[in-house]
Order: sequence, then C-alpha cells, then structure tokens
Amino acid sequence: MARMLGQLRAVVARLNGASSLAPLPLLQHNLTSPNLHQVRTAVGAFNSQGSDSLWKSITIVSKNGARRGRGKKTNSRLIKDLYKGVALGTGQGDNKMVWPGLNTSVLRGRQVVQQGKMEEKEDPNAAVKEAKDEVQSRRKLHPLDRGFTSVNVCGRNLKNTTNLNFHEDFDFRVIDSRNVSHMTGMFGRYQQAATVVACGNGNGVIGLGAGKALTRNSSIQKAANRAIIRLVHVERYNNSTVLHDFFSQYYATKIFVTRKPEGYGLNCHRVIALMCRLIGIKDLEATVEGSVMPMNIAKAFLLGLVQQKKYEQFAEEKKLHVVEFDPKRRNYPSVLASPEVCRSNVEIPTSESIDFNQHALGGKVRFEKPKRAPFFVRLKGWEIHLKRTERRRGAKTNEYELMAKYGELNSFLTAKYPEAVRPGATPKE
Amino acid sequence: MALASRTLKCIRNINRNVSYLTQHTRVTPNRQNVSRIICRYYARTVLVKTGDVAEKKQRDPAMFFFNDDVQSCLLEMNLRYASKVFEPRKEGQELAPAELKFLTEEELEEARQKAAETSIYYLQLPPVLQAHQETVEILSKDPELQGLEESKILAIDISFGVPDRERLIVARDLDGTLRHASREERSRMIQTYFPDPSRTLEPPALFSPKNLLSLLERSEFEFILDRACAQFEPDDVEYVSITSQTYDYIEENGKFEYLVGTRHYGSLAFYLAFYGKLDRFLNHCISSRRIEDAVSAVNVFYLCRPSIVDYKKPSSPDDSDFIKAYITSHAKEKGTLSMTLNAYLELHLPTAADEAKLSS
Repeated sequence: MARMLGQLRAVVARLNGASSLAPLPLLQHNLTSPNLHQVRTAVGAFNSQGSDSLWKSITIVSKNGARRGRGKKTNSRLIKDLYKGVALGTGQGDNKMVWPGLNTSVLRGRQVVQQGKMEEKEDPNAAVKEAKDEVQSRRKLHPLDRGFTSVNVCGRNLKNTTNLNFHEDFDFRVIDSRNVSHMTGMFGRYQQAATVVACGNGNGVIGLGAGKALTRNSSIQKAANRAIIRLVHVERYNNSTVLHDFFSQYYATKIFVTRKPEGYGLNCHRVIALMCRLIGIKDLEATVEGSVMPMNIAKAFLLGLVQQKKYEQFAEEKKLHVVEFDPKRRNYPSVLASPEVCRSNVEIPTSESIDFNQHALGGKVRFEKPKRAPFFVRLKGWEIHLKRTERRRGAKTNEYELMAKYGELNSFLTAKYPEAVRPGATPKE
Repeated sequence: MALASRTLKCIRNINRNVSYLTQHTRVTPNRQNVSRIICRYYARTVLVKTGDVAEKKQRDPAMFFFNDDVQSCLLEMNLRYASKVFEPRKEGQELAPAELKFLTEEELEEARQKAAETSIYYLQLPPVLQAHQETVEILSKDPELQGLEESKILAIDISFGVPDRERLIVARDLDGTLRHASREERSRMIQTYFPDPSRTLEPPALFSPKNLLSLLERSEFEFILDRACAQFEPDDVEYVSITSQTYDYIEENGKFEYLVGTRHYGSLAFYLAFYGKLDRFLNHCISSRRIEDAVSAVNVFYLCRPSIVDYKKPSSPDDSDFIKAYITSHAKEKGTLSMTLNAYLELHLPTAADEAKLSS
C-alpha cells in the first residue's frame, strides 16, 4: 500500500507538472470550471489501481504499434521505481518528527533520545526527487557484475540485470545459456532456451539448476528456482581453499584441483572461478582437461568438492596423524587430525606410500608439462645479446643505492670531478 | 647472522635432549642447560676483545649479561611466549602452499622437537653490551713509504675458517704507518670479501636520527631491533646507541607489549634492570597478568647488583612477596607499583572464603 502511495504521489506530481505548463488564465478557468469534478474521479482511479497497471496505462503500445516496433526500447526505460529510498512516517517539510527506535536510534551516547521535532533539514525523499530528475540512461554495471562477455548473459549478476525474482541471501549467476531445438510432428522445429544457473551465499553453500523454456528469461527463472532448492554444503579450509588436492571427472571433463595459500587467488577456468566466488573459495588452482562444456565443468567441480574427504577420515584410513607444515608459520607441525590408534614406524610396510597428495588424488599423478624455452634462445643473436648485457647486470641496483646515498645519481667521484657530468645533465656549480 | 647460525649449530651438536615445547610452551626441564650453552658461546665470541672489564670505571653490562643465572632468567622470559615465533610474519617471502603429511607418533614427536629448537633459535637473546672503545694499534712506522700511494691500503687475510672477529686486517696509511684496521674498516672489508645477505656495506638510511624517530613513533620496535641485529656487531657504537634509544622510547611510552614474544623481550628486561629503570616495566607486567616476568626481571635486577645481599630468593615463579620486597626497598614509584600489585592480588588470588568454598 505504501509503495503504491509513493508511486501515486509521483504520478500526481507528474500530472501537476504537465498542467503547470498550461497558461495561467486557463488554469484559473479550470479550477473554477465544472471539470474539477472529473479530476476528482481521476484521482479515485489512481487510488483503486496498482502501480503496475498505472505504469502500463502510460507506457502501453497497441498491438499494431508493437508489431511496427513502437515502444520497443523506450518502455522499459520509462518505468521507474519512484518508491526507491522513500522514508515514510517522518512527516513532511518542517513537521518532520523524531521517533526514537523507528527513524533514529533510541540511545545517543548515554542519553535517551526524546520524541520531538527533527532538527536537521535533510530531505528523506531526496532519492525520489533525484530519480524524477534523472536523465534516462543505461545503467552502469560493476565490472564484476557484467559477465564473461557482452554478447550473452553468462557470468552476469542476475539480480542487477534482470527483473526476475530471486532469493535475497543468494547470488545468482548464469553458467551457460544456449538455444536448443528439436523436431516435432505438430510444430516442426521447436526452439527453446536452455540455461544453467548457479547460486551461492559465499559461505560454503552452492546450488546448481538447469531450466528450459520458450524465452530466455523464463528459462533463467526456472533454472534459478531449481538451483535454490538443490543446495549443497561444501567443506573449506580456513574459508579460503579446498581441503586437499583432488581429481574429479564427469563424462569427458576431467579436473585437477590444487589447494593454494592465502592470497594466491583463483587460477582456473572461468566457470570454476565463478563457482568458487559463489561458494566463498578464494585461493585455488584448477586445470580442466578434455571437454570444456560449461555444465559438465560445473558438475565435475561440484562432484569433486562434495567428495572431498575430511582430515579425520584420512587419519582413520591411514591410522596416521595428518599434519600441516606451513612455511608462513616457520613450518610448525600443526596437527589437523589424529586417529584413535596411531601406527608406529615399524608397522608401516616399505611398499606402502605415505604421500598425502598421492593418497588424496587416488594414485593419479598429474603430468606437469615442462615449459618450452622460447625460440630465440637457439639463435646466435641471443648469445650476443647476453654477452653485451652481462656487464650491465647490476647497474640498476647500483643506481638505486647511489641515489639513496647521495640523494641523486652521484658517486664518490662527483665531488672530485664536478665538471664531469653525464651527457644531457647540467654541470654542477 | 653468522653468530646466530653458529650458536644454533652449537646447540644442535651439544644438546640433543632438548625436550619439545608444546603449542602453549610450558616449562621445559632442560632449559637452564640450553641457556648455559648459549651464553657460554656468546661469552666466548664477544668477550674476546672486551678484555678485563673490571678495570673500567663504568659498570659493564657484559659482566652480568653472560652470567648463567641471568641468562636462564632472560631466556625463560623469552620462551614463555614461544608460540608467537610461529605466527605469520610479513617478511616479503614468496607464497608457498602449506604441505600436508602423514606422520607416525615418532615422526610427530621429532617434528615437534625440531619446532622447539626453531623457537629457541629465533628467541636467542641479542646481547646488551657497552660500546667498543676504539684504540689504534700501530704495528710499525715506515716514514720512507710516505707519498708512495695516493690512498691508504687495506689488506685482509681471507683464509678459510677464521672467525670474523679474529680475522687479520691491517691498514697502511699515507704517512707509511702500518696499523690494525679500525672497526669501520674491518666491517667493510669483511662484508666485501664474505658478504652477508642481511647486511649492507653502508648502514641503511633507516638508522638516521630522523628516520629512526619516525619509526619509533610508528611503534616499529621489532623491525628496528631486528634490522640493527642483522646489520651491526653487538658491541658496535651505533648498535648500542640504536638499541638503547629504542628501549628508552619503549620504557617512556610504556609500549612493552610490542616486544612480548620476540627475542628482544629478555634483552629489554635486562637493559631496564641493569640501568635501574624497571618500575614501569613491572607495572606493565603486573597489570597485564604476567607476574612471572616481573619476578624474573626483579631477579635480574638483584643479580646485576652483587652489592645487595639482604634479599630473599623467589620461592615460586609467581612469588608476589618477592616483588613486594623489591617495591618497598628499591622501587622509585612505590605508590603506583604497590597499588597495581594489590589490585592484581585482590583480583587473581583466591581469598580465604573462596578456598573454604572450594574445599567444602
């Protein structure tokens, strides 16, 4: 109701604004004329209608018009949320009130705030006025909300870019969006939009959903609704990375995931990086081998995450302590998990591998491709270049040291030979 | 650095039965043993050239700093917060992933022992010494060589395995005098021929009075002290002046908590105890519930003053009567200190009523 009132106020203001353009005598005439009655009925209509239908009445285009392309772009821009940022119940103009606990805090320092007139003249409805005066333009999006490319909706922040309904606490992103079709006897080629949406709260919870519908927006809504009811919880280490290195495969998509220290960042396929941001993983490295279909990457990654083993499980499997050595902590042995009964050195057969990573990867060994040397290393010119530059190898550090010592690029010889200066520099006096 | 690594080697070679410190680092049985070894080693290396210190007019801190009892007191203070050694520090190192390992009970024990050694290594006490007196030792005067060269000539013996302090370095001046090199010339030659990556040929600009003051105002005490430790020998004039400036600044502003858990904590306590500026430090220790540190510091105070005989030794590591006796006889700010101590005792010691309640 309040929302509608806000909209209504704006619409009335708009009508008033329009009438003020009319010459003054006519206005006076109107006020005294029997037409006043009609105006009243119009206000009654505003009260009985919702804001949506009111907006529609302004922005509507006839069927024929729509076919010709009228109102195709302008309509969506004309509609504004005039209720945005409106503070209700504070009074208008000079009669603004202080209601402790409602529009102010109850305590200011140690004193209890008293109900009374508001001192400051700040207009709580300034945002509405601003919205009215605002020149219609395309909304500027934050670079992280714009998506992978400008061409399609993949990677975009759906809450900022669409008018669909989403759960409040979750971030929604499109992973894959395509047009699919099949042949039917009735309709021939039957086209649909297929979308994969992931949602996450940035704190260990993620959901994946796929939807198909006639329009893209409805398929997004469908996929988002499915994603939010299929949430899974993912274990993380220190809210920063995965528990251990793992390998995971879904059909032809194979992923190797490596845990990384804090501050490393996300070094992986964009779909995996997107999912990591939704989960709240900050540091990770992953390589994708085989098929790079976005949905299958997402599924393979999620599968791997969910199948991670806890450290207690590792300790029980091996009957050994799981210990972390962090170079940042001077390699202090911090015990992550201990078994109920620990084996001693004698009980471990020589054939058994006790490498943690090898155990976590299930015996798989990742092939690290050696980096190829650039082609010019084989050329003779490279050797000449190396020989030529060798004598200058410490020059830059030397320069910095001299600048630190003398304040500028001088040396111990400068005082002795002030007339000897570098080419281009002015001689000292 | 070289000194430190040699000390570590010494610890490793001689003392194999250092019991490990757990994560919270409680009392270790063999700590006194370790401290004795460390201090002996320091004493050997540093006292080589200090000579007979008793002859000098001023009291020399080296006489007391390398005392076994003082060393064990100070090292105990440092090792009380040994877990701080393993907190992440920003030292410009590259990011490296933490390694996960499967360990048996024995291997875990070994790793913990190694960590305990590491903590002892990083908590070694930087010596508090007097500045070295510069004396020119002339070897020969050859005036016939006058005018032969345009600059003085330095010569160094670079044979392998000679300690830096004992290395022979001589200078031939322009007037033909052959003499032992001065302190500055020595450090320059040694850094040239045996470069230490943590040192620079010239002392860095951060030790200039203006920059040092700015660092002190920003409370970068650990940085200053670490850097000074790396750059200078412990009896260097500049080292002594920089450390004493830093310790004095900390004392004046009561910022003792910045050095808790660092290797400089014990040295700070020794400096304050030796020069009789212990009151604020004690006040801080008591009010921040580190009464054991206060007891150790007062103990060091007595050990540095052999003339004071009529005192009772502490009965326990947190003996408040020991501190009370110090306050009544030697403290300058008696009122504040006894108030703090009383407040501590009221808050932290169980009263007779409490004990009755516990026993029933």
